[in-house]
Amino acid sequence: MSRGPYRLAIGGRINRDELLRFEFEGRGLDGFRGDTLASALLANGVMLAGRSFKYHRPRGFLSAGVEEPNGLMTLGHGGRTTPNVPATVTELCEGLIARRQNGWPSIEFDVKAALGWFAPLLGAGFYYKTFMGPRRGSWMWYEPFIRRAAGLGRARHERDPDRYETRHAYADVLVIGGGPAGLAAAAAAASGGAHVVLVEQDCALGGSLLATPIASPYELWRQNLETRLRAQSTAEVLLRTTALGIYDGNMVALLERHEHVAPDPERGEAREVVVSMRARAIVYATGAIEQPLLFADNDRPGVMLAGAARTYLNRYGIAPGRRAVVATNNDGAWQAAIDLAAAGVGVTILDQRGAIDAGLLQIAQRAGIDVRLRAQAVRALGTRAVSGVQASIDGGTREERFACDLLCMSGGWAPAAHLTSHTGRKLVHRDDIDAFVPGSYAPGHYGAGAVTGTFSHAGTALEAEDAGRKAAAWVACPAAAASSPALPVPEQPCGFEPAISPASPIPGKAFVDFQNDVTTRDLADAHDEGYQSVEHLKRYTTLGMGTDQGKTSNNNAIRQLATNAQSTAVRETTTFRPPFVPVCVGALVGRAIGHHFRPIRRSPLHEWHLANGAVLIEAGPWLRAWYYRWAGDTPAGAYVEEMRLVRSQVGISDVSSLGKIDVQGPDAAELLNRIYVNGFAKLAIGKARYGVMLNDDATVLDDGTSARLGETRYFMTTTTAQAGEVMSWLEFLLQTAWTDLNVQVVSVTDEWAGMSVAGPRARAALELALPGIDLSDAALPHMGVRELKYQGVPLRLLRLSFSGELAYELYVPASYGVALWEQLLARAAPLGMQPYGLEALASLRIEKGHVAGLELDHRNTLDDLGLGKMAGRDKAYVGRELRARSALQAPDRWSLIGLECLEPAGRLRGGAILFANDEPRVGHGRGYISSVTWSIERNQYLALGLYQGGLQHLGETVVCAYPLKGEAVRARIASPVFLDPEGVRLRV
Amino acid sequence: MFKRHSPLDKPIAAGGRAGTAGGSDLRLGVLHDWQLVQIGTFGRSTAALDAALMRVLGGLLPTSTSIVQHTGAHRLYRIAADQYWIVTPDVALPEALAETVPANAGSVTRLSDARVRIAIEGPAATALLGKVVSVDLRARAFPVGSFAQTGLHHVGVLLERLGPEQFELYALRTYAASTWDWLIDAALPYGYEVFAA
Repeated sequence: MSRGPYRLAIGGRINRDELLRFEFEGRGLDGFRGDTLASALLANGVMLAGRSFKYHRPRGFLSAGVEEPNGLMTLGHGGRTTPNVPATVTELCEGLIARRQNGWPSIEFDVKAALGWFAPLLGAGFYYKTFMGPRRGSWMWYEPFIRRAAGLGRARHERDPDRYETRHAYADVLVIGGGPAGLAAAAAAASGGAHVVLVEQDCALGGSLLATPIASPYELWRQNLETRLRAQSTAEVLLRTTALGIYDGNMVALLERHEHVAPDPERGEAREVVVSMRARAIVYATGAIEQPLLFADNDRPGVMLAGAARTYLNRYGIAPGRRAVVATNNDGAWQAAIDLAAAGVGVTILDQRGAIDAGLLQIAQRAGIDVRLRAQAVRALGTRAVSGVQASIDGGTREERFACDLLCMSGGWAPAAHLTSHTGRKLVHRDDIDAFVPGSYAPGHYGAGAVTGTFSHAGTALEAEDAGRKAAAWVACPAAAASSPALPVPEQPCGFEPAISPASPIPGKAFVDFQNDVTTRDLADAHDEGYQSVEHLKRYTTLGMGTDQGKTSNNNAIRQLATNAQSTAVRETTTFRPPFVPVCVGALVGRAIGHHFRPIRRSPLHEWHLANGAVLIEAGPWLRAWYYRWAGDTPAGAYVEEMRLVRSQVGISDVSSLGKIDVQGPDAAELLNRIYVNGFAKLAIGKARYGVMLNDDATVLDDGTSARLGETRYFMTTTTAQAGEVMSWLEFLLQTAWTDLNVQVVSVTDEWAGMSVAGPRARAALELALPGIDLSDAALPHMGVRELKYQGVPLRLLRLSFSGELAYELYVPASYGVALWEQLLARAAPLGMQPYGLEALASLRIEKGHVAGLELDHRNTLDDLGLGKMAGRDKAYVGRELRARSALQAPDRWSLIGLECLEPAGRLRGGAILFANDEPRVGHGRGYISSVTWSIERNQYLALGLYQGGLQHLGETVVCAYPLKGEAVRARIASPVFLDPEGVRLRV
Repeated sequence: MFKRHSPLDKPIAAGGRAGTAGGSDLRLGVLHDWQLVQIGTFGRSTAALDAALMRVLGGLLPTSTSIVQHTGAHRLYRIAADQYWIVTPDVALPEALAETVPANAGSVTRLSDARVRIAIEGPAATALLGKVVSVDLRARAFPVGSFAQTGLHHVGVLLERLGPEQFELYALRTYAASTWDWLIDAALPYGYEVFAA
């Protein structure tokens, strides 16, 4: 079955029984299972793969693999749109939608191709020179236009409906590459029982052998290698899986692709999966990438790497031309020529070498190939497609033109050593193959086959066996006796001569980097302008910086660099960095999207809040009750009503998110005494104390209340925001600085549900709700603590207040939180008790002048917050010495103030910048507002803030500027304690 | 007596879901009726603590930091150099330990409400966990009886292997609903049934 004008009637490794329909720029086309998008397009006669990045030149498919610089397509539609995908590695599947990129109004008739006329103006670094003026910042104006004109595909803004995942995997030995080297190495490594994972980016195993004729000894060898590997019970093969990068600890990022099975996100099927693979040993069998030759117009559609032509022929059953010229400097391209000739394509070989292996020459001549030695392509002919080649014959003594519609080129092979480079190992240049190979390997890493510069099958087999055995030994699973399949006969010829640098000047554009439109002229110009290091060259010309990462350009560029420098002594390459191939951001993110972006922390009362009219708000990782609908439908209205309830009757609030730490041990008191600025050593059992702790730089870390439950037991509470940090800080100090202290600290934040009952009727409410517990002032005074069991459940009662009202905190094991909460609410209902949320909780404390997270921002000192008097004079505590630094004691430091709004219609806002009343309102001012509330007590806006000199300015008027809204409101500096400064309400 | 609530009551009630192949390769459940106590040691001498533990547990604390020790019906985990977990069906154990262990010999902290115990079973259990924890779960590396403390979606958990395809996960209570949500999302292609026991 043959579909498409260029598809051969027989041959290839495609399944001709399975026809696949796909859409290409609105046209319905056919292909077969086993095709790539590129091969299917070629079969259908689509030779124009797209337009080039800068000059909009017509381009065809250069390669048949991951190195493709030209044939980038936009796949899919709507949210599934994926731009810049090489068609050469896109497995054809039913219903695939593809379109070419970078042409307007169409790829066929692209008006932007006129840019080619201005090519002399658009050389290397043209935008650095052209778009920097006339003034500083001009580039920012030009940039959008330039980016729009330059040509890659465009991402879409719609949500991608597909699912992407991440997972972890482990192996004893990871073999990267499923060609002959990888197959042999993996089989050897697994033969002693090691768990071996082989990853291959292709959908089939065999690597370069898949480009050989299917009825050849090479195919038999491929099958035998695969059979030997599949027979190993401890070997695992992952197809369609690309190693993206190698990181510390032998962590290899892999990209698995599942597009071919049309994954359904609704059923949890992932389109792509990023695998974090950790392997004890790694074998690199990544092969090599064929390099182009440099001659004028070497980018015309129809100019193709020789290996690619052979792949399209032998793997996909396509004759990519009717009449071919093969320009080369090595034996590998002769195989392509011979196979093309066998398929009926007329072939001329132009080989720069003067001497060829006699056997190879004989085979070629027998195949009817016109062989020209000491011959080089000088220029490709044709405009929209190659129509011939102008060649230098007999060592440049004469020129001749050859008609062709396929020009195959091969400038040798560059080992795909990118991954070894990721480990920080330098590549070294090998003159005999004129390419870079790994200079060394990390311990437990090995290379085999073409990646090491070994191109013969015999050499590859030996190296692979050796690498596999060494890897097995490294993981202490020695390989069994070798049983490698017999090598194919005849051996693959591997003759090579470094490509002759093109004569200068080249009569036209010779592209070094096809994807970024960098020519030999650009390299020469850059060199003349002083960009003579490969690192500078790369950045100045953008060479190698496309999505293909210079897989077909780096080698030629480095050779040109040496030519321009008239020195072959310096051959250096840039450092390859991950990822080896482009990867969707979605795949890297995996499932950490939407509400999975980060984990959500929920109170034990969460479901109750949801069911009872709470509006929730994110507070760090927590979802907390913001306000309740009983109090109003807007936060601004509701929180005021909730405050009114607490000030006049009684309210209950969920404080489960407070950090809670169990401190036990003979030295527990000493620990608290050191960590808090104020004394805890003499705290009586059954009492709690407010404490402040400092960072070791003397800024305030956190505050909270710690209660002494026994001689050696304390119950420490922290703010919600700093709970984790305080816990880590305590563990750090105990494990490093204070190893002599016999103390254990355990986070019990999750163990206890916490609730605060506050208001003048708080005691009465609890007496109603928890009959039998003596809550009298004598039994439970202010800052008193009781541990008891209520209805068989442990209950901790602390009498302390954040709101400034009579208040209690109750803690029960989290599973009983809802039950206790419901009982409190139900039984205290006659007193009007209702729940109040975070907004009211945070506002009540502002009236009382209590600092919280907005003031405890790790910038303020104890003295800044007006808490300096708390610090013990005769005891040591963390931060004490640095607290005395003069800068931290400077009288003009920004320190805590209260602010009363002076304008009845005005509003204070958090973040407002404070200026003195009579000074110009420019710059960063003298301070800012940290917290604001409407005060039901004072019937005005009140705020806390930090102000230069703090309460030295008591009574002065300041201007609170809020530039975002153009507001400037006057306020008076007051004591931050607006409510009940004597604490009468707490002690009723 | 107050009624207990689990943060996974609602997710369990929501039930399971069939996988790509139409079946369920996983059973996910939440386990109830167990107690968790954390023991901490002080200094190098543990004689007094050992004596107390022998009386209450009938055994000493484990030395391994990766293998669960079974002492009667109790499961013991060494979670740090000087910290241990005891998981037990014995409701009275936390109080018994608190009363028996001398205050200067060791700390006793009840954490039964601080963790949610999630069971993960079935042919896809290893594959599911491979998506959510960075632990080598191959049989050689993580045999039956092993445990590991690791991160699951940024939150610390303790994972234990009870059988080739049977695991338990101790997740922080306040993150439990989020952890469960992360698990069942990863379980979608395999399908899962849910249970509470």
